[in-house]
Amino acid sequence: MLCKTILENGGQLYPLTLDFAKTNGTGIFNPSVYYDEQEDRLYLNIRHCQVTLYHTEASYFESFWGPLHYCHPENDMTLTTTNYFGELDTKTFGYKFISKVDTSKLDVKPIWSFVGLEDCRIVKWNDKIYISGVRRDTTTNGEGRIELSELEIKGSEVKEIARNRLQPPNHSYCEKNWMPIADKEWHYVKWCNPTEVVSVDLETNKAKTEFTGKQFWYPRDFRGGSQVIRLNDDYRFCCVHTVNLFSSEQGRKNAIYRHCFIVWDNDWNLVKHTSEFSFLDAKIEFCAGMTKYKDDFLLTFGFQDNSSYLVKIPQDLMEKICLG
Amino acid sequence: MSRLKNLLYSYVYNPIVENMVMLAEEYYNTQQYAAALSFFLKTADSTQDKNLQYYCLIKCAKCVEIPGNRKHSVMTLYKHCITLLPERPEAYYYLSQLHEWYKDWFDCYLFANIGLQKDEINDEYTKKLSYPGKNGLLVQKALSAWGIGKGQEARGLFQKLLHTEYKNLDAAHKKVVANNAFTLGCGPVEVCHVPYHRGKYNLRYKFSGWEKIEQNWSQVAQDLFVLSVTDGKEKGTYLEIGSGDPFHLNNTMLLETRFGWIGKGIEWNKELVARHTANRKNPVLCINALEVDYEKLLAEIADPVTKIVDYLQLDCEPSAVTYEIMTKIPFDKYRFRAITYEHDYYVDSSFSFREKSRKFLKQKGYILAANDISPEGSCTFEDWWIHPDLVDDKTKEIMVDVDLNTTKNIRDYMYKPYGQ
Repeated sequence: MLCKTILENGGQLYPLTLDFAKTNGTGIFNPSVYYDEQEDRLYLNIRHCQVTLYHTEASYFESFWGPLHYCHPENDMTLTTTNYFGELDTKTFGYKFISKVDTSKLDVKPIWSFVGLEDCRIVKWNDKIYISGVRRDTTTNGEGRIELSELEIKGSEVKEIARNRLQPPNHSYCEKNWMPIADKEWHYVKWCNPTEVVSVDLETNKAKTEFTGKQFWYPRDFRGGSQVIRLNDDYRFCCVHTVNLFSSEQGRKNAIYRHCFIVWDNDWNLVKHTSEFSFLDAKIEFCAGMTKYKDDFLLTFGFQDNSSYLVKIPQDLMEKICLG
Repeated sequence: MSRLKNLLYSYVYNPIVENMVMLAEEYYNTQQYAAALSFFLKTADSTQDKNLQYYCLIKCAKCVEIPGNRKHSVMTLYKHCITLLPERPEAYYYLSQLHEWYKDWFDCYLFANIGLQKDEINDEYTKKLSYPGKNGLLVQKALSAWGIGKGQEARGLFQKLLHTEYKNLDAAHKKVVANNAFTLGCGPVEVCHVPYHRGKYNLRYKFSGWEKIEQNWSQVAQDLFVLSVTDGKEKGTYLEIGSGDPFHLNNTMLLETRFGWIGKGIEWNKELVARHTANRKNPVLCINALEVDYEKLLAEIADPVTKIVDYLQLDCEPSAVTYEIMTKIPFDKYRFRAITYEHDYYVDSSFSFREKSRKFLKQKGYILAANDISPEGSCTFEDWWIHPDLVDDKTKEIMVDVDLNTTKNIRDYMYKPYGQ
């Protein structure tokens, strides 16, 4: 359990919650965090869905649909995401404000069952705050594309004022979990093994591959997670997840998500990946945020798609974890 | 550090089930139901203690139930509980409640009945769940009995809960029981209406003119009681508070049409008043009975010399209103030969207005002629009174029949000749 290691070595852990009035008691997960050093503001985005994830990890108490399923409203089988964006107090990590992102200016009627912008990462490029995630509701087959949504923050009101749907270099059905590179404007790490860095052009909405690294053998894919940020002057790094998707004897789906840190040198050579870990000992966790805040790293993750946490990790501890 | 953060740290440092479940409880108590579900379920998956598993699964069900409209997910969790510990009653209760919400009355009734077969358990989990015990299951059974067409069973259960368990119920169940007992009343018309038909019943007292009565209109022979204690008086007078329908269950229709009585009624329902106006000779006023100037009204009805009115009907709802109306009547200036007073004791969740009304009327000089009248022997709803100076001794001997420990079935009182 990574959080135990962190707490034992001077780190801190903070539960992130939203009022019942906002969520109706359903899941808040996959938070992202970003520290705007220029403005000295710490931003947070939390994903909310109108579902509760049911996951019997030991499979002792399967639901009607198996060990892993979303408890939907029975008249709404969509997975509808709403994003709550806010600012954290840098001392207490409590909210200065947290507001539903107003997407009304750019919304169109969804035509697939996954609705909204999922698993957003916050990034500031060209002095503008963006959230970047995958949207799958614009086609009847659920095609997934990374979107970059520009936010306007006025007081506690947060509005989406521009939206770019980015086409990948090569056609695919679903692109997700591209990781924005915080210190390299308009660039993402699209894939980790082999490393693929893409640049995006907001005029054409096209992504172009800028770098492809060497592939190495690993039993699972490294799938995107947090933003890619600087570990120090020599390295960039991020937190990615792996997935073991499997079925029970009865053919009912189940999954185990684990995470690891990946470290690149300044030439995008993947120099290190840590062993896999869990944050809080759940089998479904997801990290979508990491930022440097003064002498610490802040990392945000979701637990069982139902709750959210922020963890503060001292720089030296993070370097020890990532570089050994 | 917040309590939640403290408990989170305890879990991280030592992820044992005790710490998991405490964290789950805190999330639950702060309405973070999705988070609570994760930790309750993790606890259930991690412990071998079946009672703890049972408790956690019920809490999981609540976490899914509160956001609403997730019936099958919730049902499965309660069924897991039953599979784990079929002798515990709580899951049956919650399943019954769930089916009540969806108006699945047969399943609601089924699980309430099964739960009632289980022994009561009073352990830490029943307390933490605020499980209301057998009375909760009885309420579920009563509600669902109505839903599946067992109306009399539902009434009986609500009456039983009202009169034997009310003080043991929590506030929410008290409200359900009181409201339903009141709304369901004593039964459908074939149960609560006991009309007189010549040839079918004999009368307790064959007053003057009884032969001209083929049938009556009152619910439980109030009209015959009034005629009995006035010995079939012609051209008597009445004040009818809560007139209701001009015919159905009406206490003055017989008096007016066969015995020439005059009087006035008070009724709040405009449609009923219109029916009176169209069909009856004597007037009914459409006013709030709490706002009537009774002194003025009685001056128009009573004998101007003796200040006597032959009959006063007091029949409004609920019990508190009827009592309050009674206190507005100038009993010191006017006297009534007979009074039928509806205390509705069988649905009075305060259990107070029967006694208050008795004390009040005794102080005003009236004597009980018949107490706790009911149509079927259990739903006691009226007392009948007479003024001892205005009823002759022979009639009093026949008509006064008081046993405060017994509910009086109207058939036994009014439809059997005195002395038999």
